[in-house]
Amino acid sequence: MSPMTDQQRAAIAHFEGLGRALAETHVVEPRPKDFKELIERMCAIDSRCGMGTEDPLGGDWHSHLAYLRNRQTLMERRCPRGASR
Amino acid sequence: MAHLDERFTLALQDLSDALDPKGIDWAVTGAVAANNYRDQIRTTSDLDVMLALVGKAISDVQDALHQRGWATIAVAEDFLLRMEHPEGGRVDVMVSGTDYETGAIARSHKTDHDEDLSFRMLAVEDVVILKLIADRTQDAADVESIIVARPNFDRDYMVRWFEAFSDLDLAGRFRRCETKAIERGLLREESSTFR
Repeated sequence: MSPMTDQQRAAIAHFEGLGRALAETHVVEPRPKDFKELIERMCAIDSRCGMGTEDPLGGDWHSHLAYLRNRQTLMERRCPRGASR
Repeated sequence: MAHLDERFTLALQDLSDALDPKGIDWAVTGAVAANNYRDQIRTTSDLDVMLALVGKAISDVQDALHQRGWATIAVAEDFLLRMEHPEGGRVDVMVSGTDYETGAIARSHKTDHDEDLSFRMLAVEDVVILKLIADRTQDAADVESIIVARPNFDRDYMVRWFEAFSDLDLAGRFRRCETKAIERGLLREESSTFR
């Protein structure tokens, strides 16, 4: 990888500073009091929450496949305490 | 069509009605479980559950859900089903394939939604470990958000599985999520989980 230019370093420093500034002004919402409120808040963010994606294999599907692949790797290496089926 | 926030309840109730009489242990995982442990809630396109199938095949689950009107969207590797409830939306069903996962379902905790519906939710340590194993960008972001919420992690339990799964360097992945949270100013260094 080639070394960063001064411009790239300045850009990174700028966005890191921006990130810190945002973090300082970040207001943490109170945690949902129960599952109902949790779901209400999720649905408030996105009215299609839980209804899938247009792509039948969209959403978290590829994350699940990645999980299965990594789990398979663990099982093949026969980890001492984890991976017996 | 069910009201927005009733979708999940409908799907969970139907899963409960289909799986519980068959003695199949299951727990909510994925984004909904992660949201349960983080301050900054995110949306998701589906509900994820993990099943401990003992002496049964994933096709048994599929058949049971078909009988209740669910449709199959996709199947992968006999371990993963994407199903759709007629009103309750989309659910990804993953089958436990390791002692670790079966144990995670066993230690999940009961969540009472109302007097008619209760279900199990994976413990925070297991939500983190599963996401560290998957290791995609969204998973790492979820882990970071959970770390920022500073849950009371069972460190011994996590270390045990980090060591068992050392081939995947889960400890390193966890540290990287924590480092990002510190760099963003969302977590103090002295609040690190394994400091």
